[in-house]
Amino acid sequence: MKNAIEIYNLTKEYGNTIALENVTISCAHNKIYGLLGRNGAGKTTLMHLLAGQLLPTEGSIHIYGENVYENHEALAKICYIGPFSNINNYVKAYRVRDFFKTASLFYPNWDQDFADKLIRLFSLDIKKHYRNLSSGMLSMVSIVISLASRAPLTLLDEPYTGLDAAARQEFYDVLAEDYSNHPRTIIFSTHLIDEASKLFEDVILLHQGQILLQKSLETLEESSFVITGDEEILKSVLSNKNIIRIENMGRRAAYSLYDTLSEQEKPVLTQAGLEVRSLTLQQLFVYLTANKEGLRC
Amino acid sequence: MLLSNESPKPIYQQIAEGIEDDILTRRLKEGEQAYSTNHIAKVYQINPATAGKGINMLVDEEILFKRRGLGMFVADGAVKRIRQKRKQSFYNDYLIKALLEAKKIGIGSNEIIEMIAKYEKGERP
Amino acid sequence: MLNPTVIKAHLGVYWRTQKILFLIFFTILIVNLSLQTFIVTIINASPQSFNIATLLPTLIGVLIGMLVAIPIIQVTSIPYLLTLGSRRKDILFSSTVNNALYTTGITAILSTLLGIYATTSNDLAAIYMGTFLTGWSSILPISLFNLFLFFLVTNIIFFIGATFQRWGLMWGLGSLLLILSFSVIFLKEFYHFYLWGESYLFAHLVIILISVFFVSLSTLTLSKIEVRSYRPRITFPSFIFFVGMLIILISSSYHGVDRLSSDTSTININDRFVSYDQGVRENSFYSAGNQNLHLSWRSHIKEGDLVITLKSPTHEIAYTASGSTNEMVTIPLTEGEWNYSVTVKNAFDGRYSFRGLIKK
Repeated sequence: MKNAIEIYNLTKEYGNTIALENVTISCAHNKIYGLLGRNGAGKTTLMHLLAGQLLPTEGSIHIYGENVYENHEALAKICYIGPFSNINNYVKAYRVRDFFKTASLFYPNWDQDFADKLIRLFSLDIKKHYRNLSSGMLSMVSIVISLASRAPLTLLDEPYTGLDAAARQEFYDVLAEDYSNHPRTIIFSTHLIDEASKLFEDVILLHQGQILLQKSLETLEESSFVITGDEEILKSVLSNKNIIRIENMGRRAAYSLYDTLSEQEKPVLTQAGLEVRSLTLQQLFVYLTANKEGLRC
Repeated sequence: MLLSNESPKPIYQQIAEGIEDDILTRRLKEGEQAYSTNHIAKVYQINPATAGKGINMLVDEEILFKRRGLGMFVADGAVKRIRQKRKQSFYNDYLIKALLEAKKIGIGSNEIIEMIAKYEKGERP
Repeated sequence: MLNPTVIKAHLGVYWRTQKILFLIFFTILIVNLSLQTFIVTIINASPQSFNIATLLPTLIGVLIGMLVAIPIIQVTSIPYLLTLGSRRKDILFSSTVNNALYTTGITAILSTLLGIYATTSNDLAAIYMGTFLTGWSSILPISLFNLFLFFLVTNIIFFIGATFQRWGLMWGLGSLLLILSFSVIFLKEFYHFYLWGESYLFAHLVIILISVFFVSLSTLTLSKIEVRSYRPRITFPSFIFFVGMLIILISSSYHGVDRLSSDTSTININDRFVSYDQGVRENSFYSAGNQNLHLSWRSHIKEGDLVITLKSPTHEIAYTASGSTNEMVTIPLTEGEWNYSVTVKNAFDGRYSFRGLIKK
């Protein structure tokens, strides 16, 4: 069976700026991918390209083995609503229900009952005009479309701008449940990494238009630690490890590593009076993308 | 059970340990039906694959078993197996830390033993 | 293959954004009609005082405005349609269909209004592209022509909108200027056709060809269009293009206006009177020979005599008509002084219009 996404050597330039450079990724069926990267790393560009809304400068994109450009079969399998407020500024005459009505015509797997359920969950007023929607409501509209479309490839790009914590929890709930019942490939980009990371199965990290890493969440959890204790001990014990950040507090220090620790190593560290904790995905992300020199992945 | 991003253990292990805890405290009894992958995924808002991995780990360790078409059940002898396994990690996960802490604040071995004796009698130290 | 469901969905999107235009249109229609009714009631005039003629200019203005607005609104929904996973060629196809539908609708509304005007007017018949609006049958060729013309207009505007969307402000304005430049060069032909009509078949052919040309241009422009937030950014090449097109427009306007008045001269006499016992209006013009006079004569009189006579330099009668008539003729001119006269006798409540164009 072909992969859900095959991207080979993808480059995208806007005039003189390079947004993506030589990106090669493949994504399997029915997994949730976390797409992480700092602002301007190229996440949105990548999603637009996947959905055929931007065209590559170089390289190829295949969705379920098919080229996306002008391909109805492939396009019908993708749902990418994007940063809703930018794209749909022109559709000012629309009411919320018009967006849903239109979306239901475009997505073959649209589930109206599910859409109605989500509308009730978010208490969305479907009679409201587009121009009167707050950024949170706009996010709700795009979430409803993204989820109810049940597209085999669903792209969620920072889906909850303006949503409060409670609404975000509802969104995670609904996503986890609906994904369990209707598995599909989801690419999920977000800055609230710690909140969302439990939903990821794989993580793709984009940095300055290039792929920094693509690993399963488990692999990352098992290979990112922060170890605190006496700096002399840390230095000697961790000399052969890939250290991505050092914080000093007098003689004590905190070494963050992006490396594995075997089951034999961990008790040794503990016995040496060092404290071993996991780095959260968010911390790992911050350290990896901040660290420009000496980065070894 | 609470999931922690900072625990040195991956989420699937935390899930597995949570289920083990429920079995040890008899919230889940041997022979009873255990939680489903989707249920865990929904409750903890985690990826079902991660939840599945935690459950599969317990299946491999013969703590849970699968009944075709019905779901996951707690195996007979699960409590015993969990205890055996946990004993091995008790030293690494708990005792070392306690002893290191004791050393730091100057509590001697005898004092610790006294504390244990008092605890068993139900007194506060 | 084009998917009918997709096209239907697109038309739905267009309709949702365009229905506001119809709301405006019908509002203007209703406001205008009720104002007239109100005035008629106030002054206790006869229902004949309802004047469709006062309604027409407003409505034609609104309809032409819609021809511009509809394709522009379509262009602005392109990013939305792309977001929903539409193919670019589907968008182009559906928008062309949409243009055709609206063009047909607008033509139908306009033809109905013109038809009502033509059949109820007691006044001098209007002339439009060589056709006198005298009854329903005279509307038919005009309607057909309008249909093609409006379709062309929407396609051109759609193309200009597409360049704005794809390439940005300067290229869009530049292409607009380029199209205007081409148009002004043929000002003479437009003017001539607007008054005298003549070669309908040829005009239809040209319009269809230009429409096809612009649809293809739009296809080309949209084939690589992307979803991007539109920023009016001015780059050096686009600025040069814009300035170049501005220069071309200025020179072609100069050229077009120059052509308009070259080798031709026009005669234009209009008059209206309530009562007239007797009167003659005479005039003359000189022809260098080997020329033609295109003449349109329209007259409307309730009672009495109204006669037009055109005499050649040798005093032969080249053209004459009397009473209420609408005629359009072409008369070969020989060298010399030509005379024409309008004679009115015991006339009551009348109007006439004499229009002539002398050219090779």
